[in-house]
Amino acid sequence: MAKVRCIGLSEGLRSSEVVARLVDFHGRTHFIRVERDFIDDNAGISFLPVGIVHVDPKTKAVLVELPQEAETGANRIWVKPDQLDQPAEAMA
Amino acid sequence: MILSDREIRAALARDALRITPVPGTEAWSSTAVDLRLAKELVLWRRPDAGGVEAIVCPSDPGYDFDAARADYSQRIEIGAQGYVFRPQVFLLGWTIEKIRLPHRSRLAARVEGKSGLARLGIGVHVTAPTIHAGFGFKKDDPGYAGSPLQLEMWNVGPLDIKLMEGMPICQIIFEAVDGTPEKGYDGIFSIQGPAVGH
Repeated sequence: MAKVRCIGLSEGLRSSEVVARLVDFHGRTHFIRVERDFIDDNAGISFLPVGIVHVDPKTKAVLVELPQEAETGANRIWVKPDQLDQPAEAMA
Repeated sequence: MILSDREIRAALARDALRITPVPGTEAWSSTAVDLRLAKELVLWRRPDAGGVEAIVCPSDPGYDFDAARADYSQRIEIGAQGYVFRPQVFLLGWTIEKIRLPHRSRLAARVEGKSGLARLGIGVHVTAPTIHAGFGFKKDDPGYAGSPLQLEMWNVGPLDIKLMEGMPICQIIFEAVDGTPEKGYDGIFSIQGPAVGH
């Protein structure tokens, strides 16, 4: 499963949650509230599990589906490939 | 197509979905399963900006949810005597049960209110009942239980209603997804890439 690198975590609305901050292809920050244990930590870097929808052949941008709707209203966002922790492959 | 109680049990048995903990017998009906209210609630506070207009705009590219949370939200815990839900109050709640819907199970769900509470004026979501395939699913963590459902609760009735931790607060209805989402069909459909150069 692909994971997108978070630029930060902050306190959620309740104690078991965190707010993960992600940057999309255009540099906009998205906030998504998830259970704390939904976030994976790899060498001190936080990653959010996502589903890969599509890789744009021109820009190599990757369309990912978030585990739930972000506070900005986004369900899917474009990210740069280097934001993922593994090469993008569409889920079979 | 809505799943019957037997189909929900079959999906649980083959791990096509998880509800943790599995609801007791009394929580089941023919096409839905009741879920219970967790202890923690969150109230959105009215801004106290000293006469200065305070507007939250989620579609603004500079929207900062962390700032909104810090400025306007307040945590509450339901005590042993319950929490009195006053008329015209809006709050966020969560289910005790966690839900896990793997992408490939071709299942989605909807959370709906309970009619007994609805007749008192209590709603449990604000026009966003859908739980999409993939909710609470971590492919790399087979033991992951899932995530609780968040409820957007409002009291539009005239009565003070006491909320208790563990009370049946909503019902979940499972539906079969027709076909496989785009995630399984990369490249077959034309998806326009991100806008660049502006």
